[in-house]
Amino acid sequence: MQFFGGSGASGAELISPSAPPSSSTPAGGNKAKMMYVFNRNGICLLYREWDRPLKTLNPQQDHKLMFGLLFSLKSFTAKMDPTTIEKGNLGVPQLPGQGCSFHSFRTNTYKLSFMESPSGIKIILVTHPKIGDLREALKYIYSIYVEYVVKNPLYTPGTPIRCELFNTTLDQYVKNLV
Amino acid sequence: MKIYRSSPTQFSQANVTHSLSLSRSSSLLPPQRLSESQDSSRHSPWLQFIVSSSSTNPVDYGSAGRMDTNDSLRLASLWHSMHAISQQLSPIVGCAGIEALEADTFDLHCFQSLTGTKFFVVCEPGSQHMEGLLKVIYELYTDYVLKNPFYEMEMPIRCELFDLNLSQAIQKDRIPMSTLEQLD
Repeated sequence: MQFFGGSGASGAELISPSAPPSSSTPAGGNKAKMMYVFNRNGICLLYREWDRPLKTLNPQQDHKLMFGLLFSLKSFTAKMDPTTIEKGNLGVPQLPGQGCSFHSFRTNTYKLSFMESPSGIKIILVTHPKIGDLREALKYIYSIYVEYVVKNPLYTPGTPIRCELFNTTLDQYVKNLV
Repeated sequence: MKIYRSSPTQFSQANVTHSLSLSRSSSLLPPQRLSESQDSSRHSPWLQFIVSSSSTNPVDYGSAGRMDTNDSLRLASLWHSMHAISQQLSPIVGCAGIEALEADTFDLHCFQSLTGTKFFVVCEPGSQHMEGLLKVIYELYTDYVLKNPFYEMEMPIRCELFDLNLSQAIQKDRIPMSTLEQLD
């Protein structure tokens, strides 16, 4: 896993100049369907949905299922990884950045993009299946998170995110994803 | 590259019935590619094919490479459940499960037949035309396995012609790829 975020650059620089990498055309229409943010303990810090007609489970179950899917997929890819010889046993918990992870999967109805920060924050963005690579977009969302949530003095780590500014910035960015 | 096939199971008890693996250092590859594979991946199984079924008494056959039978079984079972869960999490109705998974070091393409049999291929990131390859493999499977009067359903596949044609199909797929790389 790549540890991103220029160490020297301040957060403000991260946000303004390197502007939304994939939001160049505002006419792209809303392709994002929902988004999850989990911390390393599997607690859902944030759940946003923009376009989700089908709901099969109650929110709590849904979050658990999503976290379980990511956890299992990660152990799957770590075990499957054809480039390394020593892979350990299947299902052994791994630290963020350890082992082969994944960044997206696609089904016929949606595409799920996944990013994990070195501290174990998982950002999941579910979009329309016909969307390009969202790795940069997720990094940008992570930088929004750092700016508006982590640097918010009223926010206690590990609790659900209730920052209005974060939500509006996020909505605006996600709306323009292409 | 690895290819897996697994058939639907009721309770994630997937049994690998067939696996085949070709080492990357196949004589058909151009030397340039050989050396690359030697230093970078130390003969990782370039291709593996696994069949799982719901039979309770699996007889594994030909599983080679570094993944042992139990691991293949576990991975196949895990894939079944991931596939099913991904359908549950869909925001729209009509989801048919994971088609493609992009990991850091490989891509996985999955094809599910109408009867629920799953085939998946693990390839290098950015490999093209894997859907086509999976369809071809499915065709081979129907022709050489299902139409074989000596083949019992849900049992390990021991069909020589199938193995032969499978390796041919994969070689055919790999040659154009490697020539393209040479052009670059």
